[in-house]
Amino acid sequence: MNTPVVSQPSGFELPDSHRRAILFMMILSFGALFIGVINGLGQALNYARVDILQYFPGMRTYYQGLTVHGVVNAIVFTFAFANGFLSLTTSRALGRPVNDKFLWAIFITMALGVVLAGYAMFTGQASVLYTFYPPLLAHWSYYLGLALLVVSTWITAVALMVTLRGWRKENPGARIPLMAFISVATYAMWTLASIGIAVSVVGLLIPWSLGLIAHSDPLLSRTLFWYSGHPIVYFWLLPAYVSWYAMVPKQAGGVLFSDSLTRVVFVMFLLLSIPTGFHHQYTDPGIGTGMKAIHAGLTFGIFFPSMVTAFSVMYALEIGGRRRGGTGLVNWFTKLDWKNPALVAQILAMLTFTLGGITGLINASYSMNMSIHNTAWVPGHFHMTVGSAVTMSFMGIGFWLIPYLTRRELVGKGLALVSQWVYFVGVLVMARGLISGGVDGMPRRTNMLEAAYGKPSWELAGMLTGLGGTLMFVGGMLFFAVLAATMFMGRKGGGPTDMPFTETATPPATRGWQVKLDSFRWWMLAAVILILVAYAPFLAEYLPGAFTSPGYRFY
Amino acid sequence: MASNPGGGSPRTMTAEKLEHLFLTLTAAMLVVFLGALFWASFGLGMHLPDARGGTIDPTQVRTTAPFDNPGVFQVGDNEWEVVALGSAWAFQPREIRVPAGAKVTFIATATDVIHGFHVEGTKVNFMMIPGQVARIDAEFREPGEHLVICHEYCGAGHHLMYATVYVEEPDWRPEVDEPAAEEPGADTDTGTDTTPASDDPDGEGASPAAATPDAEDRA
Repeated sequence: MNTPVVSQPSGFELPDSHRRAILFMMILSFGALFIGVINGLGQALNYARVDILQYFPGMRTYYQGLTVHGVVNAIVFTFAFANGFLSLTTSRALGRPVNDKFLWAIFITMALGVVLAGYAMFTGQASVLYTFYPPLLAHWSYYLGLALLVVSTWITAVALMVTLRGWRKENPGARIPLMAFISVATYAMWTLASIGIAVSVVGLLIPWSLGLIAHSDPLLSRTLFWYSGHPIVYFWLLPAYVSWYAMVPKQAGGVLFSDSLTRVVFVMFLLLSIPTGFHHQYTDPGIGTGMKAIHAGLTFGIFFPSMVTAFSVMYALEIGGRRRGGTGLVNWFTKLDWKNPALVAQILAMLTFTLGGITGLINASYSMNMSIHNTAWVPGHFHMTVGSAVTMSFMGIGFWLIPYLTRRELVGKGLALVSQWVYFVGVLVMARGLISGGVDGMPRRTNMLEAAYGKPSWELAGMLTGLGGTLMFVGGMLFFAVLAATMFMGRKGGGPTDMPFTETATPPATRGWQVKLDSFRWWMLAAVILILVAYAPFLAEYLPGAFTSPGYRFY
Repeated sequence: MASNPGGGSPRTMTAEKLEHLFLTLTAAMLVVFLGALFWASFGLGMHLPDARGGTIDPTQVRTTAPFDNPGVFQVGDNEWEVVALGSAWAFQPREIRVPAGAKVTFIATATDVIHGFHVEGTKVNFMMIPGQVARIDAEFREPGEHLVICHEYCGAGHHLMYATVYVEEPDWRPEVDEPAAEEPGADTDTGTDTTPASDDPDGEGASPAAATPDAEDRA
């Protein structure tokens, strides 16, 4: 009765050119993470009052290092991974490789973006952090590089849509295979979500940095940034969810329970991810409390599909654990395959994400936000989401994906397991430091080593941050060692011949309301309506805006 | 949503029930949380910053009332106004003294880039965005000392930017020769006379047309 989440369960061969293009994207992705993790060590140790950034080549200031850390981790690592991984899952699920011209165009666009943004960052002409709020002004190549990275995601979106359309023509009336549906849904959401950042960067900041327009509107650019800046966290997260739903149940020896519920979850993300951006701007003057309250309500709505995910994925794991001989209320959990690094990384990722989700709900909690806004609490929170739930999931996927793409066997399985446990403990210790410091007023994004102020009670928080960050660095380096060893020394022909994918216990319905879940067109229309509800009243009142701020290079 | 056309085994039937229960409880929890928040905010009056401060031309801040005279002013029996400016990399005023239990209104903006204003240990936490005037009502209940930290990255000296709020005893009033006070005591002696009219910034600075197109202070 079980139904696979792909259309051709047996016999799919990814052509070599596709394999290489996706491998290049993964190398770019994990290469970015490598630089990000090294800079992250400098950031964490700064809280513990240890300065190692001075020894980093090309890093002149703490804030330059912080800019690099944010851009390479939050934008390059995540975008490159999503572009490559979801191209692969869509190809596999439809049994129809995404056109490799698209894949190479994606890679080249990203590489160009990295070179442009990297030039500005490493020459110290863009120490404006990855949020680049005007009127802090960066070199034009920084904005252009970031714009190209966003363009690479649009090419991916087009590539996935074209592939899906081709499949639909050949399979009229058939339900979209689940793994393809959730992959395309991720890009459908991000296509709408990225409009804000595109308008701000291309329409306002690039002309401004070139001197074509004299002034910026800080509040408008901030609003456009957060229009994209909240849904971007789901763009980071959903590729991990694709793995949790479509692959992890298989790796754990279980099955996914409900096909329809999984689709409902991704439709909810498509609808609710975007109209929530004001919860990052609760403390901004110039935006009314009524609209902030509406965004707060919708943000609580977006918590729901993640709770559904917690149920579905845990249930799939439980089936796996019981099939492996687990009994009782919790014993099944210990019976999971704790020797499979791909699985272990993602289970640990899920565990940190429960804390990440709870702290995120607190961030979103309207008036409560005022106690922790822009304190160290916030990086404490998001290192338990993007910094572990996403990062560890991607590392876990890497443990099978790199062998699959290179056809080489994974080297150092034991080391791979250790890397994830060390990273897991590290992120919890660091988050404990940042969160306790944040509750106590310790600011984020601040060179604490040279700060003109301080409190004795921040010392323990800073030490834990430095200690946890060091462990994360060690775990990260072990991961990169495994990756490099696999790529260069792994036994040839030893990699998996197919990617893991699960089955669902309830098949996709062929009639009834569930069939309508596959109509991306209508869901996107509904998403646009919700966006208008959330943003049109503010923009109608605020536009044409206040373009009164000249640029400043205070770095 | 979990109808089972394939005919469910007992195990999947149980899963459906569990799933419905879990999702119902989740939805109920979120509704309760949200209700509590809105009750706290709109019922108990814990308000977020809003748009009532109006806008201002950021390049003309220092010549626009009330920001031409930043400081702490007593404007009523137990009511105080703090006119604050954020600039790279200092707050004005650097020291803020108000009595405990007083109604304190912060009127604040930035002269250059975005800054943040967080009175550590309290709920006073808002952004100073160039072009926007923040107007925040606050009350410090207990006497004590609080750091004010610029918590938005504002350039190479961001970590040097702070101020201090001294919350004095409820019956405290500034002395004429108060050496630590940022504002000359004489200002507060005459009470409301020298107070910047609190409604002025709403109207005056509201014109984006006041932008000076030639302002090209790119450092």
